[in-house]
Amino acid sequence: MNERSKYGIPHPVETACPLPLNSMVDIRVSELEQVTLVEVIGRVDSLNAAELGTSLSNAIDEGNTNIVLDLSQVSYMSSAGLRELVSAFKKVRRVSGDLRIAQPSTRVQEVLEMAGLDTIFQIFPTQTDAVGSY
Amino acid sequence: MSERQLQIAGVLEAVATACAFVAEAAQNAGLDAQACHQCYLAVDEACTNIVEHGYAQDPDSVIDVMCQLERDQFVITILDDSPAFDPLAFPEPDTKAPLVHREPGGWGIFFIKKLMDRVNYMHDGSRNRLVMMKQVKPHNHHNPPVPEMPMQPIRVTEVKPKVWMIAPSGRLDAMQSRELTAVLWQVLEQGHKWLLVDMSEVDYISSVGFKTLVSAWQRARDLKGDLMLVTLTPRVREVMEMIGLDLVFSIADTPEKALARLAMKK
Repeated sequence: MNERSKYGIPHPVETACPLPLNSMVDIRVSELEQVTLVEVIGRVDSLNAAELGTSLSNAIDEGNTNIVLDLSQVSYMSSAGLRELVSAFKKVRRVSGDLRIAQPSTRVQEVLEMAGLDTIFQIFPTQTDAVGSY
Repeated sequence: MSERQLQIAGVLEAVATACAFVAEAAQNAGLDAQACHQCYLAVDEACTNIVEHGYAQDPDSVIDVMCQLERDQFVITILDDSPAFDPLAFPEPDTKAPLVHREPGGWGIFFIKKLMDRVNYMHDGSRNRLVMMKQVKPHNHHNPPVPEMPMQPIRVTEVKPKVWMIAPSGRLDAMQSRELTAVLWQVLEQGHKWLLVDMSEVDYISSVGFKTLVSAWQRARDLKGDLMLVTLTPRVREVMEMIGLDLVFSIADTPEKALARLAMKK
């Protein structure tokens, strides 16, 4: 019996890591009639969270203060992403705007709840609902 | 041994590599997808904090990440050389505060505590050592329960906060001493330095067995802790007195007496 099985460690299984390795995020900003829609696709971590922050900040600086943030296609978000959300939210509220979240993915919902941010943000089940709420 | 180890540069670009390394080890250890993700997130938060606050993105710095399975605990150890910082002493954010009172950041350590079953921190003289544990729950037939340890089992229990009791049994010969060495060092590696070794079920101890106990005792002392022997069988006690080891170790007749003496030292 070798060391590994003796200690109850299963042998390494040759399966791919279920979690994406790349640190890519795609942020799409589109101007609707009265709302700015920001769709985030991919993962948001400490390496790229600033991209999300900049996109949101730029929109607010341009006077687009009714924002819908669609997080349905975010596969991963760490606290670095939440930090940007809260900063942008504070900024937009200072100019009487709002930042509403549409359809957060399970992973995003988990971290929002863990941080107690699910009660701070208005969260809508679909993008249409969120856009229509303005 | 069963441990897996990875060293990354102390920069944000390298953090995802450490996370993926741990998540894969977690998966192999039998954690379900949710728990793997939680380990991934905890390592992300821990390493990001070290890089951003400890190292200030110094490209020459390194972070060591180790994973191992100990019985049903998946143990992640993160070591870094930045100035001593106890993340567990960091104030927790208020998750009920209204927006105006919310700081944007400060979530990372809070997340680690929420995500993992147990978290320990120590500064071992030169390095910060964060140990995070996640329990492996047997969940289906694809992941059979962790097999029983062969030979005589060595029980490890936290008898009082921060005091760990290790109970070998049977003959502490060369073979069994190797097991005991592994167990003692795993416990010490996790930063536990107050150890009791319950000898009540040990009816024989070889010189290798003594060497094991002495090494672990020295290590515990190096960590400013102690290792005490509890409830020796007459035969083992006789051998210890013969070679003068009863003067080296603190020996207590009962676990209660040992705990009382440890309480005075701590």
